[in-house]
Amino acid sequence: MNYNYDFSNELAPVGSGDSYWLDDQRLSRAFHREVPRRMADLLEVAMSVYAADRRSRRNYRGMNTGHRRIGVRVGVHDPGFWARPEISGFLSEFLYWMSEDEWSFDFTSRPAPLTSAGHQGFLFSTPPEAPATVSLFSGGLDSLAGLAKRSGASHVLVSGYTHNRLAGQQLRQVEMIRLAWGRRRALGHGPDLRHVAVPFGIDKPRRSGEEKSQRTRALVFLTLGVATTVQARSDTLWVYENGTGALNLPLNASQLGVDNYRGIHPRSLIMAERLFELALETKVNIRNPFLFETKAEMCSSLAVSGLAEIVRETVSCDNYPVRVRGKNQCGHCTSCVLRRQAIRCGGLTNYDPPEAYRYDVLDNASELAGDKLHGFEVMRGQVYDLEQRLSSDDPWLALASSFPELERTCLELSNRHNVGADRMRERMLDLYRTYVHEWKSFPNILSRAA
Amino acid sequence: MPEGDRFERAFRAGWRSVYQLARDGKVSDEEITDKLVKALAKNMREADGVPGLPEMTQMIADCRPATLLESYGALDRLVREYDGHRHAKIAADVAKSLIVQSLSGTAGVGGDISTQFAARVCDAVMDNGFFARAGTSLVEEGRFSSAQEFREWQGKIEGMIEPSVAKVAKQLVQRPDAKGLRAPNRMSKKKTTSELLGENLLST
Repeated sequence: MNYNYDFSNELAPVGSGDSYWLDDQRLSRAFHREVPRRMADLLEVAMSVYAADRRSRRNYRGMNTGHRRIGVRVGVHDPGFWARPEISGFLSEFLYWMSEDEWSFDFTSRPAPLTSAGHQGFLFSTPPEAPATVSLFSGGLDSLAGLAKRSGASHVLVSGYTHNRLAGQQLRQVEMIRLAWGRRRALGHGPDLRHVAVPFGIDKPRRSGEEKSQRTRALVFLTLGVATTVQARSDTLWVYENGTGALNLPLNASQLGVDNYRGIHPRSLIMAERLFELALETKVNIRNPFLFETKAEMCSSLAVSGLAEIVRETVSCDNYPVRVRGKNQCGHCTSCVLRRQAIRCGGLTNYDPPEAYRYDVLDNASELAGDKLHGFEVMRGQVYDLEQRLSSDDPWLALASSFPELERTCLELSNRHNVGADRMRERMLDLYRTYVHEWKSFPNILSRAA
Repeated sequence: MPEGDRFERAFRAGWRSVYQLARDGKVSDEEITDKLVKALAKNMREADGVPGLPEMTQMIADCRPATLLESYGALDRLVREYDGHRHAKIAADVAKSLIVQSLSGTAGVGGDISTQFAARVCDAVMDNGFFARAGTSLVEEGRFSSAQEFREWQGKIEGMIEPSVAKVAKQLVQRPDAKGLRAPNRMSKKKTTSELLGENLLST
């Protein structure tokens, strides 16, 4: 499938299908600084990719696996720089890993922005205290649990949102965190907390023409995160994602390649670091400190951090928003199942009642139709497969033979962080041992319907 | 994060009839095995085989510990060359798995690498097209009482089909585009005319 888009015409009318928007003024106003041009270009490129991705339907007929060829023309301040083979080539490589599509770019010149941060006033009365810990904050359970485990005197949370419902949910959580941390601050040890929420969106294609996979949307979030990091004069962007979720191994053999999302995969983060370094000519680290922790392990910190009450405000569901009163999440997608398994193992069931889900696959499976149990069943099947491999004579060989991307991931992490590959393999094995053990600690669930 | 992960649950042409036979449970495992290998051969023919099979075989043979990352990259490039062709993608994953095994020092890829690789690709194609999709459905439909029972059945079928898959693999090595590829002779006894006439049509 071939697609070509021209996003270089800034006068394209809304509704023409050739426009997208992102309020980068929020980034200026938050830090009393203009967004540098190169960064503005990065945001432009990220948005053009996201818009093109959502407008290009994948084809799975016959032997196709959804592979697309996407050409994008986009306006930037310095087209010569972006057209350099080492920049545009690496951008295409990175996007291939994220989406398994062939991306090509035609960079054209765009005029300097007419807006200025000063024109709209500042978002905060003072800039955040340095050094600030800058974290992506999606409003999901992992971003909350990750934050609960972080220390630091000054935090900046950055969120992207595409609709007001999501924005409201993120904002409510931030207010609750602020309250909880405010109580600690009153005692003299609570951190300062700032929230930068950036709306963005695309001129929506006709519903029939929309591609749902959106495998490149992480590029927008990571770019927003890095932009905030640079604006906050920090050098590290923190992202919080549990290890099994970040690695996101295929749940069964019907899944190939980017059937499994790679947004926060360690390889994606390493490549994103490189892309931003090439584009910005300065190094920004992107770290996920929970790569070797399960979601349940991440959750266990919430109870002791005083943030457990906020769990009910978080959303993990692939089908969000579920338009049923009082039930925010579907309960049957794999994200919901993983969330519920983690909450149960993390001892947080009181903060996340089953009634909040449209379907209760953990305790009420007998009343559900088969299609509502599919996500649960394939996850259970994967736990069985993992257990078989981990109990073999050479667990790493067995695991990496079944999931060979793990070997590449270990080697690349080893190179990136200057840690022995064997140490990485051990940590990876420990992660999956813990994950399997967690599932097995609920034998009634694991054996149900077996 | 498992965000918007995609599952194909529907059976593609060729595999569907095997599923129906397995679901109805009225034929022997030998007959299912015959149908499965026929579906595999048909699938290979219609897909023009496994694009990149000889190149991938060479990459497995040439890989050294110091070049693992390069080998993975080369396999990815090959899949891109073939526009993400399903069989090329499956084969690249199998090749990565064999590279890991051959470099581990504890489990080597012995014997004829090309036939062994082609056979593993055939297994993976059957997993992708049939077993991975059939598992949950056959339990849901009541053909098996549990996932464990299905796994045992799958293991039995895979054991029975191995010699036929080896024959398909040999043909693939000779013609990676699967032109003229034929399923090996059936294992189950062909029904006689009188047996067919005696079948109760209402029960099927």
